[in-house]
Amino acid sequence: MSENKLVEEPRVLAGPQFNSGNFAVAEAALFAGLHGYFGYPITPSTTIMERLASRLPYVEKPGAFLQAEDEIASITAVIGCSWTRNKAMTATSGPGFSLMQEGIGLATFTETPLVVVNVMRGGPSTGLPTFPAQQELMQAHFGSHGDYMVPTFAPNNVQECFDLTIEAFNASEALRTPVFVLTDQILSTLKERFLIPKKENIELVNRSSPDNPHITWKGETISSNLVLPMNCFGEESKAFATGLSHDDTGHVDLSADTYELLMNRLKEKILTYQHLFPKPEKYLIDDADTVVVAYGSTARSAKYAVNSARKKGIKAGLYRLRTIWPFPKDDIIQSLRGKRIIVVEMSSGQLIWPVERYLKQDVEHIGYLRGSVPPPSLIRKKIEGVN
Amino acid sequence: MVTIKFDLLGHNNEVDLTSRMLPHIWCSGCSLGTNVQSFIRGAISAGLNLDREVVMVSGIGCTGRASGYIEADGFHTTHGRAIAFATGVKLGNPNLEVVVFSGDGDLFAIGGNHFIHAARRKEDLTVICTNNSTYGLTGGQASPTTFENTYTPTTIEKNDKPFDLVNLALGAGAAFVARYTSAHYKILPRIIKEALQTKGMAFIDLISGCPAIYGKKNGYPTGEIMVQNFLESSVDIVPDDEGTYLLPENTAVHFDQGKGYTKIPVGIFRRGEKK
Ligand SMILES: Cc1ncc(C[n+]2csc(CCOP(=O)(O)OP(=O)(O)O)c2C)c(N)n1
Ligand code: SF4
Ligand SMILES: [Mg+2]
Repeated sequence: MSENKLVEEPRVLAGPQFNSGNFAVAEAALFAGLHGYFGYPITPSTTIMERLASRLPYVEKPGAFLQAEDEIASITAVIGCSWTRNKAMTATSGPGFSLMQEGIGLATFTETPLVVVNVMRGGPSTGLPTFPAQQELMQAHFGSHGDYMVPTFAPNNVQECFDLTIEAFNASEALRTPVFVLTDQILSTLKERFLIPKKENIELVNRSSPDNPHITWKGETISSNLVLPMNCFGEESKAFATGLSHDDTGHVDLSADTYELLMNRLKEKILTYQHLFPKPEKYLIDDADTVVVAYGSTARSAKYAVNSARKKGIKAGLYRLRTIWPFPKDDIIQSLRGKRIIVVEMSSGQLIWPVERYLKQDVEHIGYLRGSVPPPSLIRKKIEGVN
Repeated sequence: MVTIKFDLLGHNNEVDLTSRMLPHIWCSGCSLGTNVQSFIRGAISAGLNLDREVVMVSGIGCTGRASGYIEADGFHTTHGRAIAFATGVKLGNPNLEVVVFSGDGDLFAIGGNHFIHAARRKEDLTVICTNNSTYGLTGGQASPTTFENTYTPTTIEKNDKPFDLVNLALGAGAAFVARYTSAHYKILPRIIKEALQTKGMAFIDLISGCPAIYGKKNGYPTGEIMVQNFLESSVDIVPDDEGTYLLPENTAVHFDQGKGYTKIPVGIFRRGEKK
């Protein structure tokens, strides 16, 4: 029996905690009803896996845990587990996220609910394994071949690591889709106080079925025309799926009409419910002349810089994305168009793409590549116009 | 060889096929038709309700399409990942009978790592490989079981030595290991039944043919000639206490370009604990 065995802990911890982002992700998954975890160790995501190894098989309603032979196997086993009507997830970092792209495409096309947490570190390749970066924003959107959209949420503190992981499970179940949580190396080890709410205060969503086709999420009924009720293995109705183009029964159909309908529905179901995804944090933007756009750990530094600038009488604000994909384009246009914009990220230029594209104006940029968050002083100087 | 009284030979398989997906995509003379039939009969003789208890998982290839033709729950995964998917299903719901039905390229080239690890972990899966020694779907390119002196459009002069799947499975830790050919459709249901009832990984190297492409170039241009070739070159293994029948020189399949198969050792090489 594992030394890790922590039988004395219940499935859902309660009340205030003081711990890391990775700990919060793992506990949120248990809270959400996780049944299957399949993963492969990689820094800085590994402590999520280790925490779940010590918890998932030993709590009431125990689940399945496996250290697989690689990340391709991990994501594919997560898909398999999900088809037994169980909540399943994996967590990884850069190189592992690359290996998972094949399975992510399969999950989107077969409409498999699952959660992938990518704790970002510096790339490309093996890159900076133990330092933070934000270089997988585009990969989260375009990493697998073919057109698809995976809802992608990005926390920036330990409480949000918990909250957005629950949101990710709910979105995945409600919309039958993989969902990404993008965190980073800083959040993985950063310890903060956070609160695990009472069970009755948190909505948990379970996917639809032929017997229960009309599920609700945040008070809204999810359309069973957009999100087809899911037949799972071993149940009364036959369950079949393929990575080839298919009709509503899941069987192969390569005809032009079927393919076009399917592709449009898959896109529609995400866009129709995107207003239910985590909303951006808008900090002091109403009267601001200059707004910093950022997400994740970088936004913590940016907020500090905005506060310092304000103390000097500069009207600065922060627009922090919590849902990256689908990009909140209408809101960002409405909130920010015409203002001076500075995009700050730990990447040579990924977040700046959608911001520029939707605002259709010049955008300034800090692309910080030093394996840490850009220091507040650097951002403040940029706000002040000092280079 | 054991004589079997197969009382289910009269079973009407049509109810176990997904009729709306027919006609299937397979060429006439291909082994896949009989392989699917043998599987269905084996599952029924094991007392399984295909509809409710069995999950058919396959990868990509001509063989991969089988999961869509069998009236059981199923999943047609990406190329090479059938075993990885099956792993998640079995851990998600251990009550399901999870069957991986795929090709030699799918299971042993791109998916080889998943196979050896699932065998090592003693996962309770039944893995049936339609081993036609070629990539049928993509046009007869070399697979890890393509024979040395045969023609493929992607290898020059000579192929590398093929995997002996029986020895590979034995070495990796499979609980049950058997080899037969698609021409053994009378005995196969009984072998498949035993595989399904074995605890841990059960593996069947189901020697098959692709008469349309690989066979045409290399010695068995039609299904009829192929079946003849299988039956004439199959040799029953003779288990002994010393285990000489398990030595690589006694388990390997032999093939000569122009003649087709020259020796196929068939039988059950390892038996495992029953469920
Ligand atoms: C990642 C990936 N690489 C390549 C292919 C193309 N491909 C499709 S089937 C196949 C080989 C199939 O061979 P095998 O598993 O032996 O099946 P068979 O057709 O012989 O039954 C290949 C290479 C693919 N679908 N996906
Ligand atoms: S190409 Fe070969 S393996 Fe594929 S269906 Fe035709 S004969 Fe069978
Ligand atoms: Mg093949």
